[in-house]
Amino acid sequence: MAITSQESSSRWTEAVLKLTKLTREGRITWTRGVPPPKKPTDMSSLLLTEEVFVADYDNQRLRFRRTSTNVNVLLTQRRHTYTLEIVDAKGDTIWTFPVVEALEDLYQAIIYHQAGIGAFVDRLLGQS
Amino acid sequence: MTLSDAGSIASLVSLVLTMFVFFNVREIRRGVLYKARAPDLLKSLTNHKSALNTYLTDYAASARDFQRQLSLIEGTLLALERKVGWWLSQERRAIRNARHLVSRSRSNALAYEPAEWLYNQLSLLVERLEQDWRDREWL
Repeated sequence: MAITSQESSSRWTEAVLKLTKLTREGRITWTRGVPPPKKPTDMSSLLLTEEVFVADYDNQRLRFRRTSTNVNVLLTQRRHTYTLEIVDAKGDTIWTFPVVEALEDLYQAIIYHQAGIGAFVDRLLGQS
Repeated sequence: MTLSDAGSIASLVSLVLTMFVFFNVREIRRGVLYKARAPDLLKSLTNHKSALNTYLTDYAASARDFQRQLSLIEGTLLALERKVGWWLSQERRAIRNARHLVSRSRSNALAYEPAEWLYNQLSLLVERLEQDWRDREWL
């Protein structure tokens, strides 16, 4: 039986949801990484900023990137784009996950742990 | 065939055509309404669903917030359901199922696993509606 685009999309969404769950539960730890180098002729770096996080899981290195546009004029419907990749030891991309809506929640879970939001809120609520 | 029979058949054909036109006009109206409202409603659903993800991070402390968020999600799903397509369309049924799920979950406190399962179902629904929306943008 042929796999429809929606079934295929569900599969990738489920994979991203699984990574989000593992991140939430602290079983995957993400650290800030450096954006992949761009060619000197690539002007996109003037218009885009990139946040990069890397994590190792199940003998694979994962890289998560959030790209934001700097110039308001260029804003369309979506301000940020999210990319999840499997990279090699040199940081070269081996595989890029399809873009699914759930990547935004993965970013949220990464930032939550990275920025220590939980501990901060606990301290805040614990103060008299 | 008598003139009376022909008249009866013509009346029936006319009735069927009227129903066909009525149905089509209603669907066009629904389509235009969905095109106008879907971006906001989908964004709203995505934001509510993302809030559930945050609450799951520390579920023990946020279970009540999770529960409260469900009523907002139910309202958004109801608004989407009425506009997405006719009663038996796949998207409408998917939204209706999710809404019933949310409605049932709202009435009693959820443990972590069912809460996470509900969040996953909503994530899959959002992805499905996003894909559907991208398809419709070509029409």
